[in-house]
Amino acid sequence: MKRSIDVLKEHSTGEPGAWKRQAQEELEAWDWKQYSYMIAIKARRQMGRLQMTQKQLAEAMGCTQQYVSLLLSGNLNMTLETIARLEKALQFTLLGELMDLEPQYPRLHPTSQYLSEGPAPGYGGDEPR
Amino acid sequence: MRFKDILGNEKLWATVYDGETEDVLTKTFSQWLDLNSLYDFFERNIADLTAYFHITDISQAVFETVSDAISMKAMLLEISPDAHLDRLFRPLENSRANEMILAREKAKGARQFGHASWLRIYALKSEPDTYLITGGAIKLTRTMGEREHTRKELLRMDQVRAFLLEQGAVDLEGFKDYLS
Repeated sequence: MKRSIDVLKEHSTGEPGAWKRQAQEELEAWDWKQYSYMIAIKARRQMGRLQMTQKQLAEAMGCTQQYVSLLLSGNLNMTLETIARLEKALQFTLLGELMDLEPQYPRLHPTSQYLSEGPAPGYGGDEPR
Repeated sequence: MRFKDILGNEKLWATVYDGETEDVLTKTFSQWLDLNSLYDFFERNIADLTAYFHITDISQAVFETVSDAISMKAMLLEISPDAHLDRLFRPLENSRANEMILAREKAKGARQFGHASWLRIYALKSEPDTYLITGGAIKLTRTMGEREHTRKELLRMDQVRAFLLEQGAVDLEGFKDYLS
């Protein structure tokens, strides 16, 4: 007969407190993750309105479906380029509203063929390879 | 079956089930903080969400879950070495009168958004102020036996309890009785 705490120690994985350290790091990442969650939730709402699947969103953004899944999980630290492509693909505004805060600056519109015809070369800076 | 000392003070432990690389607390929070997993869960359980919480918007339920989960994680981190975990955990059965060896316990998320939290962490009470986490769930129904995913948590608690008893484990009071 043993105390239950002794059985736990006998079958311990080691690394005491490792969970605490990892959780601390994750909480520190909350500063940016909270935005990632909100963007993902807003994107999913808009996908619902447009009746758009993840596959269709991936095609519209010019990236893989796995990348879209990661984006919609709320755990992706997105670049501004990714957010802009998401806005364009889903025809809604996330950061686009920032432009309206400084009305003295006119919106810049791409005019080159390169910008209007799809992903730039090397696009996917935050996409896992 | 192995056990991880979560906070590094031998007060809060989490089970690592056979065939798993992560402890069950890490896995539980990963599910609660993954929107793909949450949308999938609430789409499958929309009837319970509506019936018990009067929520029809899945995105609202997902948002509340993430907010609640991160608050719960922060609360676990803020537990000081001298704090009493007995204040965090409650007996699983609300009507339980007598303490039993390796009793089944639960911790709930904080009340936010105008209703009780649906997040649960399940544990066995090893000794006063010492707990072993066996799992966690989003509990939308009144009782755990009503749905498969919460029924599974009941089975896991029994499975871990049986393992500890097989190893000869008793709680502190039982050990004192044995010595006397």
